[in-house]
Amino acid sequence: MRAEAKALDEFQTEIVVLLPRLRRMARVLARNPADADDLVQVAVERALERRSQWAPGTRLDGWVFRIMKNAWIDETRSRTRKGRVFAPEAEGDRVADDRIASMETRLEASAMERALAALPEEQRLPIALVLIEGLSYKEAAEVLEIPMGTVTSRLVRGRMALMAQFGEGGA
Amino acid sequence: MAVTDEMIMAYADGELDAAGRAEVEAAMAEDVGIAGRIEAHLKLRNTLAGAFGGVLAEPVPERLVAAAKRSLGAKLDNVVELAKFRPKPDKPSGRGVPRWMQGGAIAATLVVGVMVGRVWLTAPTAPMAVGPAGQMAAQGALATALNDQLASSGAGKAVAVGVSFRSAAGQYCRTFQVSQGQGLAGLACREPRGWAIRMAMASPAQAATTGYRTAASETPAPVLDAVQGLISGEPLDAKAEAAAKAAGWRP
Repeated sequence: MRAEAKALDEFQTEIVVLLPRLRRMARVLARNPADADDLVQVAVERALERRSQWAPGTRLDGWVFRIMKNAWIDETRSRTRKGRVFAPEAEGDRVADDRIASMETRLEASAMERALAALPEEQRLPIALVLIEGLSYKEAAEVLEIPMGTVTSRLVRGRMALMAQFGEGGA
Repeated sequence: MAVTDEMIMAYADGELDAAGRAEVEAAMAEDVGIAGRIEAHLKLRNTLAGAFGGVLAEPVPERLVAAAKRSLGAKLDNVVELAKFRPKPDKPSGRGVPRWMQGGAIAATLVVGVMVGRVWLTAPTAPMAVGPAGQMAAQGALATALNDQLASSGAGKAVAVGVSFRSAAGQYCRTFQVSQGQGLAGLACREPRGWAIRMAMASPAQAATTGYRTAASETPAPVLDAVQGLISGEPLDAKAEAAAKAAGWRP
């Protein structure tokens, strides 16, 4: 019986299948591979605990992305409280630059990764969901829990910034 | 009229409706630069997907796989409490018929408890009923089987009882499988007024199997996980099961 009890059900199997994409999304959020995997772990644990809240027939990836986004917000808030990161607002940029620099050495991140990492989070997330993960604007809005118009305007701002940087035209 | 950056982006992403597309295309005929801007959006999408594609090919750390595979036994109280998910009859089911009911059968998800309620409770011969407090109770053939049937005698019957055991709270609990309709597997515990369903899930694979089967060996994993979360000690052997039945499943 124990062996059978360990058998994965469909839900868990789908989560396992999603893991590479969850890691990719987490790297966009956390911008640092170690933090990103911690974030994936938290998101997976929460997804399993709350599996009853997932509506079958809806996108599981979007649902877990939303859990991950909220876990990341919790994490950054608690870091702020502990003064570990971004304590004084003005230092935020410098700390972010340090993290990007460390990612650069560890990951040999591409120029595009660095450029995305340098964008404000509110633009980074819609870009990752729509351009990397292939969600529609509406689906991205559901993940981010913001209106679709807000997704669109943040998306356009972030993309114009990236395109300007990479000389790929733009306005 | 100039089209906005947002419209050009949405065009590149396939997010515009027919009217919006026509507007962008009309503007494109006037301004050759627009096609270049659309192309820049498409190119950015490719570049970004490529830049972050590497992580997909990396091996996933074992700890993450383990987190996804973790047995839910320890957290079961959060998951299978059916009362929380009891059907709300006054609320139209906005999402329509779930995929698994259309034959595409998701083998085992605990959330199915909700759906099970919705489906079964409308059937005249439903094996479960919702009590006033939202508690789901076994009724009809299921209640009879839970009361009277021994695990050894389930073969070929509409209801098969699997393992019986004592919960940490001292109640007798039994797993069951109903082969009627979509098929149903679950776990019920004996309370003073009857058998309370602690968890239930659609079990279409069981319904597809006709005739003889050994109940315990086909109990779906989520039900077994639920057992692991509730059980105190070992499952009852045949003698203990018969004795518990004789005592009316009263602890």
